[in-house]
Amino acid sequence: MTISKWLGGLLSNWGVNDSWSTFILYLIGSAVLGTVALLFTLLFIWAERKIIGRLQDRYGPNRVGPWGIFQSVADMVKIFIKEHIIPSGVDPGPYHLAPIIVVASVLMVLAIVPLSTTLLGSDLNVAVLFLLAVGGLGEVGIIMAGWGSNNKYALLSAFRASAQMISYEIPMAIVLLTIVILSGSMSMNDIVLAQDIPFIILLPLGALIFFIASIAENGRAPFDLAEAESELVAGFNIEYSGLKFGMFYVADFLRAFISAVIFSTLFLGGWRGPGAESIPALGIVYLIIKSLLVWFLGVWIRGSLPRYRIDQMMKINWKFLTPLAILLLVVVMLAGKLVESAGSTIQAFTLIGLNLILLAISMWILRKNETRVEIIEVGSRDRPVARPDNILTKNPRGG
Amino acid sequence: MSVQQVIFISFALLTVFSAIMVVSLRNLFHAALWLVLALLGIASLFALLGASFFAAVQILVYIGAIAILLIFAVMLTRNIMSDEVTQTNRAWGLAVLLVSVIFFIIIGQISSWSGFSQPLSEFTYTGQETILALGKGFVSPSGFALPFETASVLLLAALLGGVYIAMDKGKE
Amino acid sequence: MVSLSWYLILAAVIFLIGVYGVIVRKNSIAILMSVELMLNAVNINILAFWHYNTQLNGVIDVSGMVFAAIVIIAAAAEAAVGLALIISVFRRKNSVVAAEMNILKG
Repeated sequence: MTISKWLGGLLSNWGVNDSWSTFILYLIGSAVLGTVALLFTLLFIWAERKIIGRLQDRYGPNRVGPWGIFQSVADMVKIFIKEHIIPSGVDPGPYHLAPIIVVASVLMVLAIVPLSTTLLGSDLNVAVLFLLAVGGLGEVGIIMAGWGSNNKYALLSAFRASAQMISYEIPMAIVLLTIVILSGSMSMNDIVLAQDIPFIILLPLGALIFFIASIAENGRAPFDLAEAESELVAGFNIEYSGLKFGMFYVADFLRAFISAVIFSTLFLGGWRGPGAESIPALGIVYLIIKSLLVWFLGVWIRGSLPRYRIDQMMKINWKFLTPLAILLLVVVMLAGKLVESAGSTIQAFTLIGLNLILLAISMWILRKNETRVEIIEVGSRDRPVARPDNILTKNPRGG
Repeated sequence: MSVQQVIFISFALLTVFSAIMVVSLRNLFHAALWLVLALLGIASLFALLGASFFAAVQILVYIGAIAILLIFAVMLTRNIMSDEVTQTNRAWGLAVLLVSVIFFIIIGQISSWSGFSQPLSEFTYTGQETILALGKGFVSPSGFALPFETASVLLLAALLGGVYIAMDKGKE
Repeated sequence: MVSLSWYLILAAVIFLIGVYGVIVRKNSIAILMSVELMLNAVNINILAFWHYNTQLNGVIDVSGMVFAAIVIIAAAAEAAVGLALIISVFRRKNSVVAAEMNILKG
């Protein structure tokens, strides 16, 4: 804040108009935010590969630098100096624009995240809608990549990805609507301020639906149908090489972290924590710690669960998540109206109770309809472990 | 020139250029992508007007849903009209004439109105007021509750109708 | 400052580009795209007048926003049904050229 004030003063001393200096300040702010996020991605790529390696009982990157920490820097250098192959028959406009649009759609989300009490890009009054809208831009980028590559696997993968993203936007939007009802505002800052009790406690079911939907929205395992190697070679970015492939790669890893940031802003109270109001810098630390926890959960799921089939993916959304989200919305609305006059403690307990009851009912229905698949065990379940001291794979039966 | 004017002019030029591309390109897929750009330009004009709700809804509904639907439809029906065949009918000269005549009539008519060159001031409501007003207007019986309900019935009918019409009955 | 006339002229230009597209294009999907352009031009007009009215009266004008929302809803419904019709016609006649959709002709 002081930096922006100082810069504003500097600009007005140079005789720059007031509205122009605001414009320039926003430009500088977004450039700084984008660069920092992209640099952080290098670290996330390394950490994710390391964690996944340990989950799968491998070492992960361990050659470049201590614990292989500079592996992604080496990869980046490799990608920079690689030959940039443009296949013949591509549609040049969409082909070259697609990676830029995909990265931009990921970075644009950062503009609305409140990083601390005073530090936020833009206190947009329709931030929640903006969040969903930016997802739509990403879809356009993926379709452009799939079409522009002039490759049938890329096109199929783009179809899958966009169908998945459009479908999973619906339960996400409905859960966001529930949050808007509880906080009474569409601005991210107001949503954070409304969380005296974090919404994950008030809406455990909503948080669960949102988390699953955001994994699917990011196209990560177990929902990584768009890049199912065994079916589609490598997804919509087959024909890309060099720096352009690097942009898709960065977008993929960055999106995982940014959706964790969004989750912790919406459900875990964002920058709030003891002492965060008085020391704004502490808010950023809290936000990053919370996001890292959520992000680790996502990586854990990615490392453990096998991929769904495409019909299963559609069924999960349309027959389970969407009806459940609509039911949750209706229940929260009615219950909120019924106990409106009661104290805040009673309200909170009503919400938690209703959420848990809904969750129990849906689990019961799932359990009732499940069909058991007979699994014939071959050999022993015990297996040798490469690193017996690894806490993640200590159990000889894995996990 | 102020920032608003520069932003307005650049986005207006972008929008008009992409709109012209939409109606003139032979490759329909490119036309659909230019349509996305035109819609994005219009969304930023909405934001400039202070209607941030509609800017977000514009991106969400038009780009996230309608444009993607159009792109899918283009892909599903593409091989029939190849890009080499001319995409316009013979009436284009007549159409240009007609359109420009209508343009001058419209501008001539509205420029005589007193509020035509009224400068628009900066929008003062930047919080939740506009959205709350819209929401209350939509659900209050003295406001627009009936149009709102009718619109929801229209959307449901469109959903069912779309599924029914596009369903492949021959292969059942 | 940006004046109201800028928005009105821009809306008129985009609307007329849309009209041109509807008259001239052969492909029915392209016609649908031009219709979307026309609807958007209408929305620019409505929201410009909404801003003007709000500024003039000092209170938020609700009806302008409601009109714009209804236009967007109508556009969504129109696109869904229109594209379903085009796909259906394509299946039956293997063509999306608007001039060839003439089964109803006597």
